Amino acid sequence: MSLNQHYDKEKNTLVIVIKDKFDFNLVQDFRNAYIGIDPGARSVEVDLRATSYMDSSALGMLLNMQKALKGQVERFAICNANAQLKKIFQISRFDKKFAID
Amino acid sequence: MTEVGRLGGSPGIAEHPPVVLVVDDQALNRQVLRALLEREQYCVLEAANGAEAVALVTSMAVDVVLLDIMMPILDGYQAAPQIKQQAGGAYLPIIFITALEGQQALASCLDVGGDDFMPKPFDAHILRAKLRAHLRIRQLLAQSMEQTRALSYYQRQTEREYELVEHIFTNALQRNMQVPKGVDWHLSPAAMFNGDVFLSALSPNGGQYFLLGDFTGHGLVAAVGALPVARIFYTMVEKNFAVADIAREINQALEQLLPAHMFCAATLCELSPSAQSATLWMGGLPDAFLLDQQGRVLQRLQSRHMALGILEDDEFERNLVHLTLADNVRLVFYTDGIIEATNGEEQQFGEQGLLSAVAAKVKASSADVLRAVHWFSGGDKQADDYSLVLIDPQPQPQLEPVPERLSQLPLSLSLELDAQQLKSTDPVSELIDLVASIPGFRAHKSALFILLSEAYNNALEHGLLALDSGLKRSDAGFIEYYARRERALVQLESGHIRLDIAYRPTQRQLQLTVTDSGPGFNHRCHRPPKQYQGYGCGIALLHELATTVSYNDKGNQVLITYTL
Repeated sequence: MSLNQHYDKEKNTLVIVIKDKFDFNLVQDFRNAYIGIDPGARSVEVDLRATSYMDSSALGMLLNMQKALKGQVERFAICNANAQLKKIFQISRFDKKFAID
Repeated sequence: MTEVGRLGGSPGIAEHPPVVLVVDDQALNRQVLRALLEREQYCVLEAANGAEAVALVTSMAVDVVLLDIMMPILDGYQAAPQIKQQAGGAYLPIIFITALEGQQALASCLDVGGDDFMPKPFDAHILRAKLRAHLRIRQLLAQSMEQTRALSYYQRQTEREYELVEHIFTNALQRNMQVPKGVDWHLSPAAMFNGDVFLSALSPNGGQYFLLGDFTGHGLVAAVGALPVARIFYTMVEKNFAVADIAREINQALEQLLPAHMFCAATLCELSPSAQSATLWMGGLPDAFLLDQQGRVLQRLQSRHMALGILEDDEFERNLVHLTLADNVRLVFYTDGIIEATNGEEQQFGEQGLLSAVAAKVKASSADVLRAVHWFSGGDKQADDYSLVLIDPQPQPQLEPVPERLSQLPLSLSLELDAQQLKSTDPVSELIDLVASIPGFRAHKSALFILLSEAYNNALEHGLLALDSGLKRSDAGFIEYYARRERALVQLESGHIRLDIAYRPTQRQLQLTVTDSGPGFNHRCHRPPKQYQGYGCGIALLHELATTVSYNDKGNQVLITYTL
């Protein structure tokens, strides 16, 4: 399984952890991860600590999620991405919509 | 021990009877003594003067010496010190046999090294008793010497082993240690043998990791467990693993390695690169605290789990403590040594003592706290057990990868995939793994993956499968698009994609050419849009990352150059 998620009740945060490759193969799984999100959720974190590659569909997935949850969730974060991926988020101006940590 | 064995038991029963050296210039006297002693099962050697006696003591194993005083060549007074010298550290009793009377003469016997004296003519009962007594003392002293020797041997050996282990530990625990700014820690020099360990490292992604652990027990055994803990910690931090994963791995290793009554109470902490959040796995250490700069408690952080090395892997609990960190907060971790420090009235320093010490001044340091503990306990002997970590979280710059020397070998690689191969392979990942193995390319892996995946997926999805990107405009369409891609790929029967990769070291350039057998697509519609939207942002990214991107007129070939 290259994607798993858990909900942190204390922080009201949905955490989605992606392993290895973040590409179009995860389109369905990624959507499933947030589609039934807890109504109390205030924050979503996508943890890329174990991700080494990403394709442009990953950017699409992240933006789709952000659009879908915009009304409910206040904070979208991308955590622990490696330097190369961070650069890609920067080039794509993702820092405007996501906290990149 | 052989020496002790030879002396074992009393005369008459011993396997090797004690050896008595009789020194007298009168043959008759020697014969009388020999007869008496042999009746008592002693083994008797004879010497006619002091010089012969010294020679015999040197060459034979003698247990007791009966020494006459008045003799030619070397008299008893002169011989005694030399005999004692030959005996070295062992107790070789010398009993003077003397016809001389007067206190002065007898005192001289003892002054020159004699242990006792027998007036001549001697009483056989008293001689027997004296011999037994001196042999018993000799035996006891020999045993004691042997034990002392064995003890000091073991002591030296243990000291050597400790030095060795300390060396190994310093390497294992501290060679990979990177302590970020804002981290102030104290561990006593003897900490490893008290079972306390502190590890700190930075992950490639900039995460700051800490582990404070306290093994049950003391000495080497406690220290042994620290080795796998350090190895697992540093290896997993290097791979950006989360603290819960690291804790789980350590738990499993210790559970398998250590006996059931041994375990390691530990807190693992990960600060995000920006130091705005912290994640903690806490198992068995005393409560930690989140403090403001004045040392006031903002939050008490309680251990939630059993110590590492107790639970089986499938019982392991991952629950973490998450903290959002405001500016200028502090984290304090410690093992129980500090709060259990006692003063003369048997009172403990306690949590309150610790918190007061930290709050005694703004940004109190570990040295400040330790001074307070020492002052409280009156500098007591337990001082070695204090382990304390104070963290003032600070953002860390991402670690820049060490630039590798670029390969100087020009390379090119071409492959053409037919419909069957397109269905069954994942050419992008495999090719990127291959390319990333060229010296100097690793730091560009993610960028190259985006470039090649973008070009390849465009060729496949638009060139061969004729999918419409417009679908991706909506969330549902995005999913539908990829569902269609999957269906269309299964049905694909003809067509091919050709990939050409060329590396030119002199220009530091990598050229990727992707050509498909499709009718071509109108790439002019895929100019970078002003605003990045869900679809189409791939092409825009391509232009940002690549040095040049160009298409042929037909629109079935894209040529990308990337500068390393």
